[in-house]
This record gives sequence, structure tokens and C-alpha cells, in this order.
Amino acid sequence: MLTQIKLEFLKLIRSKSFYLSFAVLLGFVVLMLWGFYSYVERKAGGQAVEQFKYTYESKSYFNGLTFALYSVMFSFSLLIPLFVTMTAGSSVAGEARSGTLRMICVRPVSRVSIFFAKFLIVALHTYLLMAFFIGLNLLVGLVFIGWGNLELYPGPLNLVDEPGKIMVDDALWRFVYASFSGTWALLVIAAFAMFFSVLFESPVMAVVVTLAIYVMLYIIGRVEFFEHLRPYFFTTDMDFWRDVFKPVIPWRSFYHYGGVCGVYTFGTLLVAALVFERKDITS
Amino acid sequence: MWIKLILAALLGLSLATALRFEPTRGRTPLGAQRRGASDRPRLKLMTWNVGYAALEDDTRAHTEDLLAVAETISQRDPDAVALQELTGPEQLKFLLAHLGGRYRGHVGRLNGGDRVEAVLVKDRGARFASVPTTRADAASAIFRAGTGEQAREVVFVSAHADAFSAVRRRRYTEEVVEWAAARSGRGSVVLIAGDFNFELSSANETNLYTDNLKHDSEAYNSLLKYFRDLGRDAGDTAINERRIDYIFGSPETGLLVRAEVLRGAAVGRMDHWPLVVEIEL
Amino acid sequence: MTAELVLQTEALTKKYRRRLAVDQLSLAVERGDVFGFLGQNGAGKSTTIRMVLGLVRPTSGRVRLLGHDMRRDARRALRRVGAIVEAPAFYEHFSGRENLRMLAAMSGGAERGYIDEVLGIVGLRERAGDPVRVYSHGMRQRLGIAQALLPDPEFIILDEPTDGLDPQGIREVRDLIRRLRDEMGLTVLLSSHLLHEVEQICNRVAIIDYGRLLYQGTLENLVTKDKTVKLTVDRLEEAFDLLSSDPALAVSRNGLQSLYVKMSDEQIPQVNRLLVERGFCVAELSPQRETLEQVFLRLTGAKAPRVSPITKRFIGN
Repeated sequence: MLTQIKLEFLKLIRSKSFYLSFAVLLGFVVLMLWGFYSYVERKAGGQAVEQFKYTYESKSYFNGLTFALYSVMFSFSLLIPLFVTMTAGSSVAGEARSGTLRMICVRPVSRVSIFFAKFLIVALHTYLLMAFFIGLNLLVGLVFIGWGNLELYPGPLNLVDEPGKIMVDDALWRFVYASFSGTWALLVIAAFAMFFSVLFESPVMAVVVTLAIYVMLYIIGRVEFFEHLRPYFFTTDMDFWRDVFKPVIPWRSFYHYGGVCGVYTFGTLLVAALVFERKDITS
Repeated sequence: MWIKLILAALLGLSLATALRFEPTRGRTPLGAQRRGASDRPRLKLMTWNVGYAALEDDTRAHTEDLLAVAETISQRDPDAVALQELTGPEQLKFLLAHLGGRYRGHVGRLNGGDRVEAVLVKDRGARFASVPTTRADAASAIFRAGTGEQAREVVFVSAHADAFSAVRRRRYTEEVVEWAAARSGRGSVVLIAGDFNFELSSANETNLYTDNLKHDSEAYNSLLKYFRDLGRDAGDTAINERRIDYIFGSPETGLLVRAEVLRGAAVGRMDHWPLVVEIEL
Repeated sequence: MTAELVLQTEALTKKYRRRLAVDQLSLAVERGDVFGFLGQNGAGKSTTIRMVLGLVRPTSGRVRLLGHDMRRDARRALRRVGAIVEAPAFYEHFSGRENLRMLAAMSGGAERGYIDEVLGIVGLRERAGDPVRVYSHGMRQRLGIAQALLPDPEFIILDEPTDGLDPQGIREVRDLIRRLRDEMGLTVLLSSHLLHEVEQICNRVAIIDYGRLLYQGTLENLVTKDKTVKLTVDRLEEAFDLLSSDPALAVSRNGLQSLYVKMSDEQIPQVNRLLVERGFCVAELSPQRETLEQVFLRLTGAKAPRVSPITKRFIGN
């Protein structure tokens, strides 16, 4: 099993798409920074730098941690799932398409262990993406704006329904928690993508179907008219990861929805593993 | 085989966690809501800014609307009512007259302003006091609720914070809180009702770099430090999806029975709806 | 004494919905065989090989590989089996050596020296450090054979190993397979449609068509079982009519010079006697050795022109 994990890890770090995912996230942070700067430029009449400085020195609510929070929240829903789906969706179907799957499946190793090793590497990649992205945002926030207490308001993030505050030291830990809770939530999509990767011979098909389902539920879940459907979507349960940014973490619901996500993830993986074990490799 | 077992075990563990930590459906931030009969005294409270929307010539209450206000009060029959944006004592008198003498009332001091807050209570033995602030003084009533051993002293404040300046709102709120918290410490049930005009959502804030949100949030938090927001789950209280009318209760408030916004009660060009809260002492 | 069976399939069947890809196929590969597995495209060769290697689940039937039941004990069975299934595929951005190292790790590991040895066997040691994406088709095929040798196999399955190779490449692979048998003592199952190659290196063959076994046995038995006899007589037309009237004989002719009659060894003197008794003057009666290709085409009933091209080749012979 360790050998398989090692080999899958080698494949991951030698693939271009691995580095591309980090490069795109870096680009996203630059865009976010530019967006905020241009916003302040407009609002502050060309005094962006001074305004940033002022907001930090006056300990106003907008600081580097707020920047990181906004950036992470906005990207989590679509950008990071995209890379997770690409890695997971191509994990089995990609090898089936290239023919390497039959090369490894004629070795004396169980297919389930091949599948599980692939999943562990997808999970590792997901965590690295989350940790890198959070770390990068915090760094950019520190360098360009400076850290302060994380002030939370009801608004576009839909995070709290009354204002609250997390002190800076605690807030930094919350970002660390978020890297884990975010990864756990994203594993639901990863598991679905791996299931479709087992089902279809084409990695494109696996990625597109997974993303289509995710984006569809994500959009419908956010349309007010369909609010009553929301509890039935896995995308709603995935939102539990954000609870770590509430002034007081609602542990009970955090564990509950974390558990629900686990059910989705491991249930799907178990089915996918059984399908893969019995699948005819005809590619 | 062992991998399938691990996956099955993780699935079982996740399922067990999800079931074990099933969160209670619906949020009850004020503690459990009691269902069924109880012999504890109940108190029904109402707050209503009866002024007009900001774009009107005279944004204070219009006397001709007070008939409808009196009718709503009569229908809902609250024990105490907090009203905001009356022009002065004469409107209170008009209102009391149309309530058939069932209520007694008091208005705060104008302090050079053009509108006042008022409190109306049913209790014939109620005492009234002004709550001094740097803006117009708020009005308060001190009365008793319940009978016998269960009787409690209730301090009921009608407040109205500035609509245009977050800094002034914060100062005003802190002054009211200071006054009310002192009374709460003496064992009275203290209730602050009124229009605080808090803007707590960054979605409605046009400029992320102003401190308005910060001031309003800290003002609101200063209230939450001593009081509970009883109308939190009742929804918006003013047009444009704003929840700016509140009834806050001190920790002695007891159980929340019901919180409701009476949409449709507004007449003329009023931009607020009455918030009614029923509590069990 | 019964030879040890390295591979045995019993009534192996694979059905894809309504299509029967392999039908009740029973193969037996003996230790030391270079076993040719022949069939037209779509005959079911690859499906059979995939079932043998556990890539495809049989609808019914059984596979025993190196004495292990593939359904119950596939991992143990595959430990000493090397295989190429169709075109070998590799991780393109890894070098040839890295690919082998990875695949060896999955087969239980191999020493660095052994990987170099295998690379030497297939003649790729010089280019082992290059990424596979720059390899030619022939190099990939050789790397495919190299990876099949990684588990230090007793039995090696090569599915179309010469597919797409130029004549030089085909010859190299052929020599390599010979060396595998002669120097390493491996049992080889060779699936190919290049009959000439199979004929040169295989001792036993199986021929399948539409998933069904048409022949299994030694190459000698296959090509000598039915003989085509070249017959040169006077009054060729009359002789043709006479012999054609016998349903036990298959007769064809080459213009006005010769007749070609398929018959068994026992029939040859009978035909000779018949012709002499009827007053024909038999100038030549010579048995022609049928090539594997002819047998194959005859057995599979391929829609190739059955008389004239073969006849031309006979003349050429």
C-alpha cells in the first residue's frame, strides 16, 4: 500500500497540472488584491495605499485577515473544487485513457488498494491547495495590509447574522482549522469525481459530470426561490467548513455536517471501490 | 479487503457522528421556547416607529395615522408599547384618548429636537422617567407585572437612535445601555425597545472602508453584552429588508413565547412595522 | 507423463450484453511452450488475454494461471507473470528507467541492477534516461517487453508485440522472444496476426474465430493434417470434372496446367489409382505443404480470394 501511495505521489508531483493549480491560485490572489486596490482607488480618490494604511492603523475592520477571509470564501466554492475535480476525475479515467491502467492492473496488487492510494493522493493535493491558498492570502494580507482582529459582519459572506469579532491570534488558528475543514468538505467532490472516473473511461467526462452536478446544486441552492430544496443538497452540507470562522464555533452542527460530509465521501468511495474492483478494463 | 473495511468503518464513524451531533432544528438563541400552558406571568410588548419614510416632508408621526396605530394596539393588546417619532406630548394624549383610557403614557424630553419617544403601559401604578442622553432623552416606564410572589418590577424603555450617523447612534446606545444595565443589576426585568437604525450588514454598506459598520456593530454588541435580542428571529421591521427595530431584554427576562412583526400594520407613508414580543417572566 | 500447464482456461466465456466475445474457450499452455494465439481482428484474442490477466471478468468459465485460480488467487498468480496487453502504455513524462522502476515496485520490487539488466536485454540501456514521450514506437514496444520481464516471470504474455513495427523491429522482437525461451526458459503466449512470425517461433498454436476455438495443438499437426496435392495430367478438364464430382475432395485449377486437390494422406493413392484406371496419364502428383496462413484463412473462413492468390503462391513455391 505504501508503495502505491509513493508512486501516486510521484505521479502527482511530476504532473504539470499540479503546478498549474498553484499558479492559478496565485493568479487569483493577485486578481483579488488588484480588485480591492482598484475598489479603494475609486472610493478613496487615488489614495489607495494611504487608505489601506489608514484602515490598518485605525484598526478598522478591514485588514489582512479580512482580505484572506474574503479571498478564501470566494474561491472555495468554485475555484478550488475545479482543481480537486480535475485531479480526482482524471485519477482513474486518465490512466484508463492513456492505457497505463491496464499496465498497473496486471501487477499483483489489488485494485482497491490502487484506488485508495489514488484517493489519498487526491486528498493530499486538496489539502495542499487549501493550505497553500490560505497561507498565500494571509501572507499577502500581512505584507500589503497588515493583520488585525477579524471583524465579522452579516453580509456577502453570509457567515454570521450578527456582528462579531475574533482576536488576531485566535483568528490565525481559525485559518489553520479552515484548511482542514475545507479539505474535508472538498473530499465530497473528490469522492464523486473519483466515482465518475471509475464509471467513465474519459477523464473529461468524469470532470464535466462532477462539476455539472456540483455547480447545478450550488446555483440552485443559492436561489432564494428554491430555499426549501437546499437541505437536500450535499453542497449545503459542505458549507460546514465555514463555521470555523464564526465568533463561537458551533461545534455541534460542525460535527454533524462534518459527519454528513464523511458519509457522502466514504459512501461514494466505497461504492466506487467496489465498482472499480469488478470493472472490466477494456481500454 | 482491509481497505474496504477501513472505508466501511469511516463511513460508519461519519454516520454515527452525524447522528450523535444532530443539531436541534431551528435556532432558539434565547433558550428553549416553552410549549403548552404555564402559570408564569406573561408580558406582551410592542415597539413601533410611527414616523414617515426619510424622503417625506415631515418624517415625524402624522396625527391622522394615530387612529390606526390605536386600533392596532387595541387589537394586539400589549402590556407596554414603545413608540418613536411622535411630535410631542399632544400626540400621546391623542393616542391615549383613542385607546379608551386603558393605557397610561409618557414621552421623553425633546432637548431641542423635533420628535420624541413615548411609552404606554396598562399598569395603573406605573411610574415614568426620562432616560438622559446627549440627544433627546428616551422615555421609560417602571411598572409591575404579575401578581403575588411572581410579581416582578419591569423597566421598559422606548429609544430612538440617530438615523444618519453611526457615531451618534453608538454614543446614544451606550448611554441608554449604561442607564438600563444599572437598573438590571437591581433585580428588575429591563426591556429596551425602539428603533436603533443599526446597519449591521456589510452587504448594504456601500463603502467597505468606512467605520460605520464598526460603530454599529460595537453599539449592537454593547447591547448584547447585557441584553438579549428578543426579536431576532422575527424578520425585517422596516422597508428595504431592514431589521432596525429591536426589543432587548435583560437576562431576567425569562422565556420568549413569541416574536412577530406585524407587516401590513403601517399606514400612510410609515416605513416601519410594529414588532411584538411576548415573554414569560 | 502429462506436461505441466502454465495456463489453463476452462470453457471461458465473455458476453458483452448480447454479443458473445469469447465462447467456451478452453486453452492449455504447457511449460516451455511458445504458444501462438491466432485470430482475426475482433476474434476475441485480446478479451481472452484480458480475462487471463484478470482485467476482464469472465461471464463464465475458469482461468488457472501458474496453478492458481484467477478468481480466488489472482494476486499470487500474477506475481510471476509478465504481460503486454495491446500497445504498451507508459507515463510519458517519466524516463524509461523510472517507468520500469515504478512498475517493478508494483510487482514487489526489483533491484536496480536487474532493471538495468532488463533494459540491456531489450537494448534500451542507452536511452533509459530519456522521457518516454520521445521514444519511437519500436522503443516503446521493447520497453513494453522489458516491463513484462520485471517480475522475473515464469510465463510471459505478449499481445501483438510486433504491432506497428517495421521489418527490422519485427525481427528484433522475434529474436528477443527466442532468447526469452532459449536463454531464460520462459513460457510465452504470443498473440499475433503476423502468421509468418508465429510460424517461425511457436511450437504450439491456438486459432480462434468469433470467440470460438478452431484449433489447438502443435504447428506441425496443423499444417500437415490436410494436404493440397498438385496434379498434372493430360485432359485436365475431364480430370477436373471427375474429381470435382467426389464430395470428399476439394479441387481447384490453375488455368490449363495443373489441378490442386485437398485430400488426406490416405486419399492420395486412391486418387492416383482412379485417374490411372480412367486412362489419364498422370505426369505429376506432388503434395504441397500448406502454410499457416493458408490454414488460418481456411479455418477462419476469411473472405480472402480462396483460389487464385494461393494458387499463385503455390506456383511461386
